[in-house]
Amino acid sequence: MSLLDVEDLVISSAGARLVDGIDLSVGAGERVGLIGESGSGKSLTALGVMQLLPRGLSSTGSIRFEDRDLARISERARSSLRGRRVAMVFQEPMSALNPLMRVGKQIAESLTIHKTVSRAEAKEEAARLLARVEIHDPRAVLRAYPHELSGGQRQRVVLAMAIANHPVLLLADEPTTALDVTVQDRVLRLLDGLVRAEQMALLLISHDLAVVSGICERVMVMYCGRVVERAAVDDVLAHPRHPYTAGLVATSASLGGVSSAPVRRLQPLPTIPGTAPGAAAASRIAGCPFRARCGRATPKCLEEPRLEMIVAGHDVACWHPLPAFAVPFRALETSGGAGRTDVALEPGRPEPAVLAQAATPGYEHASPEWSRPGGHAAQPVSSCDDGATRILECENLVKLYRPELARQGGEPPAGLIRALDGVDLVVLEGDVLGIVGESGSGKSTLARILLGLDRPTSGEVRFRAARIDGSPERALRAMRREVQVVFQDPLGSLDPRMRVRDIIAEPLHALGVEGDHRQRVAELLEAVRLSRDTGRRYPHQLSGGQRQRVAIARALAPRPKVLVADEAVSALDVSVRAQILNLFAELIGRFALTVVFISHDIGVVRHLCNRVVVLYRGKVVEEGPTEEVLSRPKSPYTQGLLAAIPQLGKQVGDDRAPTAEAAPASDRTPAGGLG
Amino acid sequence: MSILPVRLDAITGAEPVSDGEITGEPSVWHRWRHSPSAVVGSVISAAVIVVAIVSVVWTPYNPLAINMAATFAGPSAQHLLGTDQYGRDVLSRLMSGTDATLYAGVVSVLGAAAIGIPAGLYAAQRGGLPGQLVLRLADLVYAFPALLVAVVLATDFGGSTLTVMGAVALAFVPVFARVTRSGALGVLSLDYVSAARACGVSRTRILRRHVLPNIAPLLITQMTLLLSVAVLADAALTYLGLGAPPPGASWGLMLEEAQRYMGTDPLLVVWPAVTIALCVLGFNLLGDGLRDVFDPRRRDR
Amino acid sequence: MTLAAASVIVFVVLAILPGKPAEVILGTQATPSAVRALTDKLGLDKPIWRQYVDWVGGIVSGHLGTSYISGQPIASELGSALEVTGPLVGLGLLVGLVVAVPLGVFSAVRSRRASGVAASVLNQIGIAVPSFVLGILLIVVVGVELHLLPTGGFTGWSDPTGALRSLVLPAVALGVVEGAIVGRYVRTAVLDVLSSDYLRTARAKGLTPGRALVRHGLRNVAVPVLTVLGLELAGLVVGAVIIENVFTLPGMGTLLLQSVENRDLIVVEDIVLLVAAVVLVVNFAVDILYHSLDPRIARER
Repeated sequence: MSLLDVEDLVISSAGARLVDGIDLSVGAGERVGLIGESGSGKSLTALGVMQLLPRGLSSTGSIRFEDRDLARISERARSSLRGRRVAMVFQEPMSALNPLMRVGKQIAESLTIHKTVSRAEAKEEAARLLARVEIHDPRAVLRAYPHELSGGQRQRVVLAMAIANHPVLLLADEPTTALDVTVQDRVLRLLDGLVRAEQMALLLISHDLAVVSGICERVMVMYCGRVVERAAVDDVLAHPRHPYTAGLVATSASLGGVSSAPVRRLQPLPTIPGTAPGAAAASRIAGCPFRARCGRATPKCLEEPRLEMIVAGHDVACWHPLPAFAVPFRALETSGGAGRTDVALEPGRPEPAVLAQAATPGYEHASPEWSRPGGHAAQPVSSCDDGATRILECENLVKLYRPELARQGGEPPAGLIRALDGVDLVVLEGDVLGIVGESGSGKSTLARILLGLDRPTSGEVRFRAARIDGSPERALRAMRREVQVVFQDPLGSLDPRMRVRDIIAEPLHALGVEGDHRQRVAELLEAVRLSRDTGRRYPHQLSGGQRQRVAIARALAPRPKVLVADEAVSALDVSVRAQILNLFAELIGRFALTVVFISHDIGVVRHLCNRVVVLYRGKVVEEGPTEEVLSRPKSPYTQGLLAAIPQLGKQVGDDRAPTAEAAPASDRTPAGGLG
Repeated sequence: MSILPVRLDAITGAEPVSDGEITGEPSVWHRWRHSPSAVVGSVISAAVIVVAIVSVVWTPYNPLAINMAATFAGPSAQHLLGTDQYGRDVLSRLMSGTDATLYAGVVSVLGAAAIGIPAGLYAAQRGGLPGQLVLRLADLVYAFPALLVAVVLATDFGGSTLTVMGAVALAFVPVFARVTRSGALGVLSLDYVSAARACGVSRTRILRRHVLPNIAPLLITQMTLLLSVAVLADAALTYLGLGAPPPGASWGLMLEEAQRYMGTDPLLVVWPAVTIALCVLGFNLLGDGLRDVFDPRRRDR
Repeated sequence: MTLAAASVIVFVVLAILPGKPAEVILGTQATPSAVRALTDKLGLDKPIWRQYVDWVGGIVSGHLGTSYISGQPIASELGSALEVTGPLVGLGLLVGLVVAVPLGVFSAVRSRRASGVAASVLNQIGIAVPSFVLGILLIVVVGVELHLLPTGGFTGWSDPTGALRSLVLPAVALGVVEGAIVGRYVRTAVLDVLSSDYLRTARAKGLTPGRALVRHGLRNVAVPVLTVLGLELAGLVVGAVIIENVFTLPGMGTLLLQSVENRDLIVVEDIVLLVAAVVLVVNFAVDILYHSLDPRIARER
């Protein structure tokens, strides 16, 4: 008998089945992971178990927990279980705490509600709990308001409240997604340690396979509100049987960051073509929801597959599961050409553009011509520039910010924030320069200054040896034609009231580019692999990946030499991220672009960049050729950063790098969220 | 009620426009049909507007024609809503008052928008001292509710429709300035504006191409809500004798006159009261509905 | 700062008025020499800036000047008027809160049920009825038909029960409508809290929905509602001016309108400035209170 037994859980909103009948069980002390991309219904599942669904959503099915059905008992009875026997940790540590109540009171409340301790003892116990979640100065934090804490501290506080009454089951919904890598690593270790020490059962929800594999024993993979695969973690990593899982594993493995395998830079990454249909659209699809993206799909897939045991302890919902020994990467590759055209496409399916894209032959595996002419490895990479032109450079950049409360970055406003603190940078023609840093490192500020959107407080920025800092807009025109930008949030970077074709044509008009603009827009749409009729659409009619393609097309419109990409793939789901990275790689070769690629994700930088700069608190702490920096980091910060990256199949806390503790990074990153 | 522009969201404004995830959201038309506020509000508003237009060319009787032979007549087939103390047809006077009220309301809202929106855009675009100055000025004007302005104007020029329109318009200017500014600031902070700047799009073009279209829903909603406030203000000011003088047909005036005879004929109070409430309700609901329709995140409200 | 600027505006706008006060006071039959003499006596022959300095100097030192018409010191006239208006506004606020909080909370918590929708509709209707119309209707029903409460006039505070009785209807008329407006904001604020992450955290801790709302919601609701309440207090002051007229109460509003009719410049100036000052002071006080309630911005000042 399991501790938690969920049967046929359906969560629906206005007729759309967002979670479509899933079964789930967690045994006492067991650690189970729930994997899925955005919209897969994984978070709703957890909220459904807690019966804390947002207003307007309803659920059916049975949720047996300790021999009681949480869906059937009274709200009062449920309340007495919540926080005492079953607790939950949420994704957003900022909004999960009451902004107007001191932290100590909020923790003490968890204790007093269930009358496990008296009011007088509650305060003492709260301090003990804070110490338990490794907060250094519990007394001070007890008196603090949530906004006075950093993201990592807030999440520790939420964790402290969750474990206050020693629950037997802990639900953690993306508990570290909003945190920086180094902070994530420490919070995960803490979580792992607590769960083991208290012998709690854990249901860990994440989009990150590596995070789950580091903590959990079993994993369930969700797609479009359904569970598609369920098995032991090692099994899933070694022999994924569902094509979707296989794609996920392959993508995660190839972007995993610091694997010892040599990275083939700019080589095509394995991808899953297309994008997941939105949750509401998915519930209208009959049959296997993945079949439109699946290389193995046959007409059989128009029938809905059931989750069935394929070997002992391994369940898959697929008519054509992969063989057990297939190496996932290969499996996907072989399926690439074969079955695709056989997929019977249904009329009236959502997002035909996605499908058109998926059907473009050879799209996932771009032609080999983009192994760069000249060969990058041979190029001089240090800041001395033998022969290569310095195209963009800055010297001793300093940027001070007045702390703005609206940003709610974390640190209390005290004086000015030093977003950049004496940064020197050289971008050579043909470089693909990665700028790596966590939030507060100043990397986005740097991007805006390089683009001439912000002015530095002091220091120089030069484009082709001409100073551009402080120049009037007119003087920047020449630079604007050659330096373009792609931002992080694909929706926020496109004007919702303009059609795609107008968005792409905007730089052409603004910069007075001559020639047939309509023709150019068509070329650009083709270059970013969007169908022609995408031009007529509005941004909200596109998927995240498509939007980012539009943003890239706009950036390419004036035929720039330099592309600045600010976290350009960070907002995308794993499977889509690989597609966009492949597109970047292809375009870099095709248009001989120089790229400044800003990211917090080392795996992405490693895949794309020949040179890397590590920023920490507004300072460059390390720079050099990518392989060198990432395999033999010199600065303790970089070492700590690399050690903190979750690895597929590596237990949290394993191979603990001795340098990790020495890393200067702390929970308390500088405020501002500017980085 | 208050003649003060009452909508707090009008003043604190705040919400940047549509940066939320709207993929797969139903169309504007769909949301319209599913918002009871929008449907009821637009029906009432449309009816009010139709009555106003009709009254220009036709009313059952001349709203000013005195007929001392038929004073205080109750509702009948001849006079659907009866007659007043001078035997004037109440329905005709209400209809003609609709026209006057709407005209005054629309003119003052548009006038305020014509000043307030550019001022707000300017304040958003130019941070620093000039922007601050515009804001301070708006604060200052804001300290004078429409009633006070009307009092001052009436002291100078006597009560008239112009007094009311001027007072109400002036009171609305800071509201528009603030709403525009906060909306524009929200849009200006978004990445697509940065991207446009990185393409060398000029500031004025950014305002025209990106900012205005994106805050237009906000402004249209605001205009509708302020129109309802204007109707209230117009009635109140006319009632106080600061607006159009007798014998013109306006709702405030009708109430003021009817109040004297409420002992004998309370219905005379009820008709204009109901008309005003219905009209305000209509524009209010329409404004709320528009907000729901334009801002999907607020659908539940 | 703002207040000083406001005083200049009030004064200049009123000083350039076309009709000469002396002529108005003495009537059309007055001889030119009499007019000149009175002008001298009132100090109206001095240059405008001098008049302004005299006026402001007077206000600062507590002398509000003398009424042109009655010859009474304005301070005492205003004082006795405030004895009516002050309590009226206070009572109105009380009524408003009693209406707003339950109505807003109820319609938010029950927003998905028929009862909540009904409360919402009632609320909308409350907003649409102007307070003076409600006042007139109350007079008709409670006063004229039922003879329960006095419908006009004021006996003075020497008879406290009588004074209170005559303030009940005006305060209800004033408060119900203001309450309906604030109620909308209470509803929005409660809905925001209900969908907040921290309330979900509180429920995950094991608080029942009701207790979670009380323990974690109230203060978070209070912050935005307080801002509206400040604005509405200004609205109440303005509304009182009109309501006094409906119920013929000898308050500030009545004094103001009389003075407008009589062109009693200084009285108008004083009252307008007083109201503007109240609006500014209230806004400032709300600002401070707001900062003390919300620790996130407490340090900013």
